[in-house]
Amino acid sequence: MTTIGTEPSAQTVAALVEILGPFNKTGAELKPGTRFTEDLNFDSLVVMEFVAVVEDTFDISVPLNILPDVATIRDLAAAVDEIVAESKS
Amino acid sequence: MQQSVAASVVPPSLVPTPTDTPNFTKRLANFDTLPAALDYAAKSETGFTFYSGRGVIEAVLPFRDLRDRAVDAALRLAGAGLKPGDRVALLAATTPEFLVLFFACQYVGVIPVPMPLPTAFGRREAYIEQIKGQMVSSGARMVFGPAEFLPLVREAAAATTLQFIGALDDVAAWTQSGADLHAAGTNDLSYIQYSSGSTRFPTGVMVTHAALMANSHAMNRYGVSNGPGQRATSWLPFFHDMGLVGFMLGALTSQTSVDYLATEDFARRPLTWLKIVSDNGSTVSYAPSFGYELCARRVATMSEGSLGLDLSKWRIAGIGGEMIKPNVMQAFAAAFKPYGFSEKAFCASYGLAECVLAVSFAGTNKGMVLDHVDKAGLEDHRAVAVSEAAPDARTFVSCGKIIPGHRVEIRGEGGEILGERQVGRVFVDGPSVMSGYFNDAAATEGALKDGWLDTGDLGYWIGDELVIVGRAKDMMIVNGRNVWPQDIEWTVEHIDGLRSGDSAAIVLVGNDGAEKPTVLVQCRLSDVSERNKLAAEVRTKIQEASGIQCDIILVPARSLPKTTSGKLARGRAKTMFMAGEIPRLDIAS
Repeated sequence: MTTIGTEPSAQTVAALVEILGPFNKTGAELKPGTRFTEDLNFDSLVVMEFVAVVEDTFDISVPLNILPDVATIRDLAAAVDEIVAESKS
Repeated sequence: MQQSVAASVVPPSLVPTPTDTPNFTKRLANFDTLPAALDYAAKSETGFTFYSGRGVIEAVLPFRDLRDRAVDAALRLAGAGLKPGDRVALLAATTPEFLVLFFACQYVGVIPVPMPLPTAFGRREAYIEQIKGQMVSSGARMVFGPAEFLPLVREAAAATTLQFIGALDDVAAWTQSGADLHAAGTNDLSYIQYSSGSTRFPTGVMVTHAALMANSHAMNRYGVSNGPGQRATSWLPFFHDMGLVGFMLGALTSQTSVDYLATEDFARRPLTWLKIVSDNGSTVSYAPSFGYELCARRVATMSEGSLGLDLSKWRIAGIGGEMIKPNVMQAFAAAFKPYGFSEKAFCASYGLAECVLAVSFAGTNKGMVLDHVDKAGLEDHRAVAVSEAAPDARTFVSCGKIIPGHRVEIRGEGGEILGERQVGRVFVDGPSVMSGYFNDAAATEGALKDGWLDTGDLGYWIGDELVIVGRAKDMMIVNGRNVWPQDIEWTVEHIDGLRSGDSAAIVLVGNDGAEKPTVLVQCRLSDVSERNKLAAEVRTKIQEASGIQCDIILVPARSLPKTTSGKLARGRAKTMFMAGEIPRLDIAS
């Protein structure tokens, strides 16, 4: 299980905010607490398109089973940090 | 392994299964049961090949190996005490393990129930609710799935009486039963499919071996003209009829190789779908309109011809699963023409899980046959042909002729049989029609009338070709997913300040045929900024619960019509709103 809820690195958050730019159709402010569903109106197709960009950016594979627990940019950044750490170990 | 270093980059075991088997005659689903079909397929060299999102082969499962592994697991399931008729739920990931377990069940008469995977951000509760509903409704004794999803299953199963939750690997350690395999009868149940029904009241379609074979035979022989040289590619999920039957059972029962891409990998990298079609010379592949749309959108950002694809062998680019959007399909054809794609390959079809999968096919080498009709006439149940340029033209796509051995009637509101270009409800009769919904007499009675299946769809005839214009029942179809208005309204009416009967979830259709899910919400607030807040909250709550984006329209209190028994008259609410009889409250700031 990923440790969602732990504080992610500021770099990861910044990188996510940058790649989220083109996906931000609602004009919501992009900060750690921004919610994908509620604030950015992501539906399941957009989620997958965005995940593909995240995977390419960080050169990781994002497992499907973490999606239900990822609500905010902070959650996703924490998950990315963990996946990156695991792939190096 | 040392050999593979010296040999080739691709280990010999990871070569796609061949398209044809020398000296082997394809049989097009003319078997009594699924085990008999797999026993025959095991004599061929064909099978299933699994690709990653980057288009690399991850696993190869020839039908021969599938049979051996399924029989082995079957005896272990029986050894664990599963009896013919017991249900086992399977998280339907696009993996060899799902297929091994699905067929293991077949060999011991156990009924598999494919369940969906989670695909959205932050929807844990909604997903758990969904699979819990299916496990309870089917009375499953065991659940199997990929290890990483099992914590979610355990949470969903907390209040159920499941005997076992685990992965295929767990089964390998079980002791085999000393008994023989179970020989299913052709009229026995083969599997249960939850593809319709609401989240709170799931309805499982019961599919017998006979119904499956009848539909698979018709589909292979008449729908896609299967035979030597035919090969399929699919990214459709195994928990939907088009993926499960069209590109798994239908292919296996006619010994046809299929190349798979997991649905989530397709959504991440849609062009991998086309790369596999190109690399392996696939002749048949299907998708709902939105699958073609994703590809066209992705390729629009690239320079023409830069992909290096050869789509010239793609003989049947099937379209099904939701209302067909002709403009989207035309955009796809234009974008991929430089790669040899022919718009003649488009094959529109119509079907539903209650009829196993297929009801009608447009046929091969025809392309989309468009019909332009007058919008006002449609509201009067008539499909009056007009020119494409007419100001109020709606464009539909013919779904072709009914599969042989089946009958379709289009009936009026009084049950009378309608003639050409009259719009009514579509009823189907024939060997593919389900025997009913599992353990749900009321829902079965609602769907089957004197043996005829009420599809809940509206359509009309042009000669002997069927055209579907929409849903008579209230179900909403969004990006290929069935969404029940009752589920959306239930969510809305649990928001503070709203009550039961305050909302109507409907689908409005634009002139281009695009469907927009819309919710009318009765609002008692006079302050515009408060109204704005309410609309935003409704939109968010629906997103969270159902994962779809709806237009929210606030209407005055007591403006939504009710039936005599006090229930929401949803259909009438829609008609009245479209006619301007229900005013829209101002929410602009």
